[in-house]
Amino acid sequence: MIPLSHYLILSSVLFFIGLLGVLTKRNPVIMFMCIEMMLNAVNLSFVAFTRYKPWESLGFSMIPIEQDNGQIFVLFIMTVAAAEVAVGLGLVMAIFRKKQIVTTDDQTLTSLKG
Amino acid sequence: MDQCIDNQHIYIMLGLIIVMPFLGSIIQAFYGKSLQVVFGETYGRWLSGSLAFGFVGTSFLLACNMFANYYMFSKTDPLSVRLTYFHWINLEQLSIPFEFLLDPLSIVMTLLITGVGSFIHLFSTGYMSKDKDYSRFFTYLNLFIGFMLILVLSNNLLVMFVGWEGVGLCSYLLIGFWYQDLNNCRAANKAFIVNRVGDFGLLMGILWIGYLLFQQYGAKEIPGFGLVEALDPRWFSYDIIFGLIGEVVHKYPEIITPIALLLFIGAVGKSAQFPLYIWLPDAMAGPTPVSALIHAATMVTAGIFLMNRMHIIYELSPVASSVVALTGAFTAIWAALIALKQTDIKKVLAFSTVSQLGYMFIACGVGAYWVGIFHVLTHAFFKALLFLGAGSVIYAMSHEQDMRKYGNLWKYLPVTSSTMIIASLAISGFPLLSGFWSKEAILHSAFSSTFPSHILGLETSQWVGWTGLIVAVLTAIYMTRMTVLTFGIPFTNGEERWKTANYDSDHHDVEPYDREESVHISKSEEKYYYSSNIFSAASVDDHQHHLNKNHIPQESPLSMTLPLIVLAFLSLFGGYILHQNHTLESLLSQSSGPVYISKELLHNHHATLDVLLYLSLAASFIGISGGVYKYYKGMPKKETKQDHLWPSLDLWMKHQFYFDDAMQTVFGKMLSRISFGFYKIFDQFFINGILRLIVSMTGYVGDGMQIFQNGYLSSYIFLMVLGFSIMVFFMSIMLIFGGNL
Repeated sequence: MIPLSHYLILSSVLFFIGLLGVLTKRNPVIMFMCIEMMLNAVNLSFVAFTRYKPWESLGFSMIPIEQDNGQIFVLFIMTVAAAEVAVGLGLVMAIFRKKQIVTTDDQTLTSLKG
Repeated sequence: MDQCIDNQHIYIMLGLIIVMPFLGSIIQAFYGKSLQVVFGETYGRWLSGSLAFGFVGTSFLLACNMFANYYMFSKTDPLSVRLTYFHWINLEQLSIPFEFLLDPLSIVMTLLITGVGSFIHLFSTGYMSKDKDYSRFFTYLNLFIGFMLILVLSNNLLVMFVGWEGVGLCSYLLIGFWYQDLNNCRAANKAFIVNRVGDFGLLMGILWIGYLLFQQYGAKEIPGFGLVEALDPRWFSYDIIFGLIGEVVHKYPEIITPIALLLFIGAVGKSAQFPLYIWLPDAMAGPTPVSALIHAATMVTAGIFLMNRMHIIYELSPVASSVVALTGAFTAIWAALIALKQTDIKKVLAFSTVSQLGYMFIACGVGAYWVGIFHVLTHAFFKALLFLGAGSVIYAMSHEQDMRKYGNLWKYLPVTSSTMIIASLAISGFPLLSGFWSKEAILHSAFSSTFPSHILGLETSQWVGWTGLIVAVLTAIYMTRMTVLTFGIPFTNGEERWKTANYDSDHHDVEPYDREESVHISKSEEKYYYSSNIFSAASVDDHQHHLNKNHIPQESPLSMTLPLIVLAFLSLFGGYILHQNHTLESLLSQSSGPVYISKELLHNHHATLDVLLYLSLAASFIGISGGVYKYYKGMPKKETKQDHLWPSLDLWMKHQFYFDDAMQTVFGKMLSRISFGFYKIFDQFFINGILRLIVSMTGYVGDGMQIFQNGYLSSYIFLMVLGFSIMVFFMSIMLIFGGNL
């Protein structure tokens, strides 16, 4: 059986790849993809933790954790992500229609800087 | 309350005396114009004037009645009568009832105010008959009488202060009566502001007295004994003050002099003594009856009244008394010198009033308080007469006030001129006229008193007495000058002088100085009117000049000449009546006779006293004959240039020793410089500096923070991640080292 640490390593690798993408890319569509990757990394660790339940063997008892909360959280996160992408892509389309540009940090889009 | 006489008669009567003028004022204020509308212009005015005169006259008759009652009363019971009407302020530790005091002093003043006041009201009905604000004038005049009665009748320093401020207000309103002329407004402001200086001192003195008594005799906690209640917490009432102040002064002898001097500052302001007299000559901007009533006969004597009322305090402080006497003497000679060279008839009378008030202060300063009141009375008779006579002359000469254009008026105004000559003889100290008696009494008391203070090896009282004699000569000279210039000297070049006077350039050739100044003022008046120019000399009411070469003066109507005749009789015989058998002295010694000083100490015998009568007679005759000799041919043509003994002194006297200008420089310019400096240092540097510091610090912090707000999405996310990482880092440290969650 694959140990829990493998899942967590994969999860964090995915998360940081996503983070790096968000920080460096200037195309909002790619940034959305990276955000999805970060969310799914978190999803992966949720699912892994729920499957392995490491706190039982460690003897944590102070945090009352329900058995399958992780699985349910994954469903919520996927829903929220879908909604977010729908809104975000809508915004991107609107901006594109208006300015013919979707690159973030463009001078025409940063006029609101404080 | 304890001493309240249960005499319903006197209670109601005194209330009526005080309420009458106020009632008149209210009626004039609300229905004066409607009377003119309902009954027509002529009858409405007649009715309005009669009402104003009627209310004050009723007050006078009631006062006479009360005087008769009271006089009989006091034969058996020399105590003063205290009447409490209602409680004004009533606290546990402080009680200020609205109470009045009937004693010889207050009743004599009441008779003077209502008596002279009603005659002047009668005069005003004639004098003001053509003025469009007829009823407004009488509103103020009646109000003045009411406040003046409160001033003299109150048994309480604070109630007195109400009257004191009230008459100040009425004086202000009446000086600025013709408010369309900016000069009149300026004169009114000047009077009000200069009086405020004096009132400040007075209020300080009053509060100090109250505080002192409260501190000494108020309710207090004594350890082991409990709370001791105060006997009677009316700390500002005269009977309480006079009952307790001797004991307090015995304990703290050094405290009485500053109190007395503070009260004296109030008297200096109201009675126009040396440093603060500057408002009175300018107050002549008001209508002439006002000058007669307020600025000669009644209001300006409030300071003398205060000296008399508080004389116990002055008896306890020889230093303050010496200051009073010396201030009086200095003012008397200062103002008399100025009066010698004035050409405006009302200015001569104004400075004469200042000088005579100095005389009264001499009397109060040397301890002869009742003599001060004696001179107040006689001075009220002849000075009111002089002013009313001047008003009659001005009325006849179409509001021309320059004496150099008068002359030969004897032919045109027989009643006015004969009464005015009587008055000027009376003020000059002509034997057996009223001024002679009171002036003699003042000089006598000055020479005979011994206050233990010396200046240059001579007693203060001697200094004051000799000054008084010199002033008597000067008084006779300037009054004779005024009379001769106005009524005598028929012609220059065979014509009456107002026919030959040069009307186009009269300001140019006679008073180049004033001309320059008035031009200077008018340029900058809008700018500085409310700030610094309050001390500039305002010219007397020249609001309507209709005098021309074909003018024929006419005698005033009966309503104006009747008061002149009555006052002339009083000026002739008033002094003798009051003086014979020591009538006034025995009456007033009940309320303002010496309490702490024995009569022997007061009246020590000097060699001068034997010849004093002859000296003052000589002073009077020298003055009158000198004045006639110098002026019988008319004003010396080149008086301001040569043809006199001391050229520069002459010029200084003509320009009032430049005191007004000095005050303008000191208080107008210097004070505005100082306040400009304060504005620069405190307001601009400190307060604005602190504000700017705060503002600019916020700005700098904002500028510093701005580098994070660069508008690049990736940098925002980076900062967010950075913050989150730091948070996670610290939380994990806490988790590792701080035990479980």
